[in-house]
Amino acid sequence: MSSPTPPNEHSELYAQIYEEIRAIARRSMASERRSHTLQPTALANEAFLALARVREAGAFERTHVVALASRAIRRILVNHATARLARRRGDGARQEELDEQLSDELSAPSGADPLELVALNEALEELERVDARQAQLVELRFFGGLSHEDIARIQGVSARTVDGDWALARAWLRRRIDSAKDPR
Amino acid sequence: MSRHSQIRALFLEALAAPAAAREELLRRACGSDEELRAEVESLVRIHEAEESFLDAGALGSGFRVSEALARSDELRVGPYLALALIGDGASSLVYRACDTRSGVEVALKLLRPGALSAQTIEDLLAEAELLRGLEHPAIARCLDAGRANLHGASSAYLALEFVRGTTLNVYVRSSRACVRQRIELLAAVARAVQHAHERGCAHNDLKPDNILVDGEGRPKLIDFGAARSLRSSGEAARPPGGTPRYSSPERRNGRAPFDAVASDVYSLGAIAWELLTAQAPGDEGSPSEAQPSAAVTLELRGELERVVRHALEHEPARRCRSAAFFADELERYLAGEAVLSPRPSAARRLAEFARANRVLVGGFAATLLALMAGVAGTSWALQRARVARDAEREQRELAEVRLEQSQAARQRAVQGAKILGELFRRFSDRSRDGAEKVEAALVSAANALPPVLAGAEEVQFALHHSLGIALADFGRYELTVEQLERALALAGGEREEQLERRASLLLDIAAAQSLRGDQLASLARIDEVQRLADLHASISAPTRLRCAVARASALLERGRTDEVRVLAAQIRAQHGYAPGASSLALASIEGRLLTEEGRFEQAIEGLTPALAAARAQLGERHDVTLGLLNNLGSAWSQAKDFAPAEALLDAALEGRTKVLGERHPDTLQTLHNLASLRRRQGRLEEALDLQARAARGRAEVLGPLHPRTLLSRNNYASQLQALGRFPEALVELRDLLESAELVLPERHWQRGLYRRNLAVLLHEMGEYDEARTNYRACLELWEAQFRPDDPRLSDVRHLLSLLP
Repeated sequence: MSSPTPPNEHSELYAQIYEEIRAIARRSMASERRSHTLQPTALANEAFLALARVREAGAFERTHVVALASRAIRRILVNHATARLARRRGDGARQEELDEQLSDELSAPSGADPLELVALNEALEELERVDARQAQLVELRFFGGLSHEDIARIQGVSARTVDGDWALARAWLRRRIDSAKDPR
Repeated sequence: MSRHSQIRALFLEALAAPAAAREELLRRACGSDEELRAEVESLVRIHEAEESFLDAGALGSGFRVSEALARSDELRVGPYLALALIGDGASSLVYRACDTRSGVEVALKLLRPGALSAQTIEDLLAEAELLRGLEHPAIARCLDAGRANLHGASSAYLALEFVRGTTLNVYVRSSRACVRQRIELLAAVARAVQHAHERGCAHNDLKPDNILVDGEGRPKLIDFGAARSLRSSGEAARPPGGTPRYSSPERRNGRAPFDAVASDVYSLGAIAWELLTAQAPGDEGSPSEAQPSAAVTLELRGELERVVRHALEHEPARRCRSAAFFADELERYLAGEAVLSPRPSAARRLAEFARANRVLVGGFAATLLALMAGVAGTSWALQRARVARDAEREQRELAEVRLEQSQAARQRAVQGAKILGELFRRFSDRSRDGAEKVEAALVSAANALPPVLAGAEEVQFALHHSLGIALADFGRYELTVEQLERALALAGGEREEQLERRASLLLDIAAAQSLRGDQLASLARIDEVQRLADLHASISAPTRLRCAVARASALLERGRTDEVRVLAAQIRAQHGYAPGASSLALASIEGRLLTEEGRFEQAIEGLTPALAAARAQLGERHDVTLGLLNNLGSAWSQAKDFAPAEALLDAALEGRTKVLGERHPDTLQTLHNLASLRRRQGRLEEALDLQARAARGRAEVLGPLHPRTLLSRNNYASQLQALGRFPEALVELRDLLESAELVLPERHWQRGLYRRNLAVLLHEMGEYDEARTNYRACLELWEAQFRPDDPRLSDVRHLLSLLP
């Protein structure tokens, strides 16, 4: 097992993974006719195909691919959530005899609430500055769906450390998000 | 040790300690650092108290990147490596896959393992067997088939030729295929079906979704999942399910005997109908009964209609006999040769029609007489003004009687005109646009009659006036204006009632101009009335009020909300809350303004008593009452109180449909608002359907490029977007933007709106660069139009800032 390399967002591999997953997201939005938004299951179903392909292309370290994929999923979901929030609030211009042209409120998707997602992203950015390891853990666990054992291996720490990190990061983020929601 | 590490250590230590000991532990460890203690305490509290959304994954708990990687090997089926899921059916999954031996891309149809699917392994292998017998450029080939083992369950797969393309409907819309190209596509598909039939195979599920068109515009027939051998018989020959919209009547009804060839031919006809009329075959009854309405026949007329109808014959025995014949006919049509499909005799059809409509035909003759005598045609607008005055004189009952009379007469005239149109259509050799004929008849009557009526200027006046109003019912407002202008030329004189009549006529013209979408012309006419009123003290107060309200309404239509607000306040100050239609129309406008500002409660507060007053003073069926129902309903809808909204909008729709007819712009407005309500209620499919009807109606009545039609199309696109149907929404919005730039004045606010909405869609689709370009273009347009503090500007700026 190689030593954990922090995922590098500027690497060729990341660009490749990001584009793969984004293409999947786009396609699943385009083809899922009944869905109101990104279908998490569709995305999940296809994400692994993409990862398999990336892996076949150039025998990369598995952990590396996983970490980069988690980051890519985070970015895609947050961008998407931001766009949805924009649409939700975007009542925009209204004219005519009570014609309403925009205001397409969406019902909540089956994944996380977009508000929560965007808030989480902001809080996570803050956590990155305070403790990068905990931030990466959240990214791997929440966006990548990795188990604590896998994360421990990627981060080169014990599973116990991951458990502790998680307990703190979880509470810490919750508090950040709540205080941002209703600033006292 | 960093602050955060310190917090971590204390936090974990506190968690490990029994709850009762924590406080003491923290007090000791933190000493004087109160802040640290407070922070750790709150973190512990949160940890204990809450279940966090973080516990589940962002993609649901079922997804693990690491497992995904491990599972990826399982998506090897035989020599194929699945690359992406492209189709997700009840019984099978379709992947874009790669043949690892050759690197060739295939469409891999995989039976859902373990699913309770209708299709069994044997069915799938039988499909492969049928497909192997086919060899046609317009049929996707079967390359390979076999059994497979998936997740321990047995399954089977088909490797099919991979077609890079879109479905027929999407292709036709996005490529804007012309009629010729559409017919060529249909003929090519019919040839493919013919080939299958000749090789003894019926497709059984022909529909646009099962026809892909590749980048070069060549169609490919796919999905032979319901296909059966023509040699099988009895129950084995009868295919399962099918898509009702494209299924033959005998298949829908399950009637025996079932002829698979005739049934496929019917489906070809249904696809042709949809492709050429842009109307789903099942929109109104089955296609064999459907009458193409004026606007949708543009592309399906004369001989072509005969060919398609022949394929849609209800009786299989009378139907076009084969796919080959259908293809031949289409090709003959394209070559300009005479087609062989029979035509139902005109005489028979007319006789049937006249029998069914005897009463109406009789009524029409009476109506024509009345029209010519200038009796029936009292302008509804003029009538409305009279009603208002009558109401003020507290002759409400009389007013209602008059209104009913004028409406009855109007309806008779409209009915008559429609019948005239229908008769023309039935009689004519080629079924040309019926409405055009009626208009032509009305206009030629207007041209032919004046000499006959020389000297009888009053009758001439009534003739032009009533023709103008009748034409308005066809939505032909430019012809309305022409006729009313001619009436105006005859309405000279300086006598008090003559001046009054002129003012009223000018206001009618202004109303027609406004409905045409030409607010400037409308305002010019209103200015004329204003001048008349300034010059002649005799012009009545109700007419003055009507004039002022018409101005407010036209300005509102132009989006000049700020001016309308000022004007409405002035009118209110000057005229107070006098009873009468105009005053209530003003209340309606005031309600609209408040709703637009998002002040729903105040809007509702103002509109509710106005509606009650209108019901009492003007009656249920009055135009203004119906308008108030609509506006109040819409205010409730936007305030998200759905029960009253639904009741009011339903009542408005019912009333407007009865009084004004289905096709009247106001009726369509209510339909439009009802669509918005359904969307808010989350009844998205219903909303889409209503919105499509509103958009189609407006395109027919107001014209495809009228600003209101554009708005409806915009909402339709929005609805598609809400349903996740992005490609269709994209086509619609791009088309819309192009239309808007073609017809709307340079600085019309809607131009910016469509840019914005296109950008929002692109934003959501992840096309950030193009989204950015469009947001910017929108901003540029709106910055030149709106005040710097207008919320629409900050909205777009905000959206722009959200782009990654």
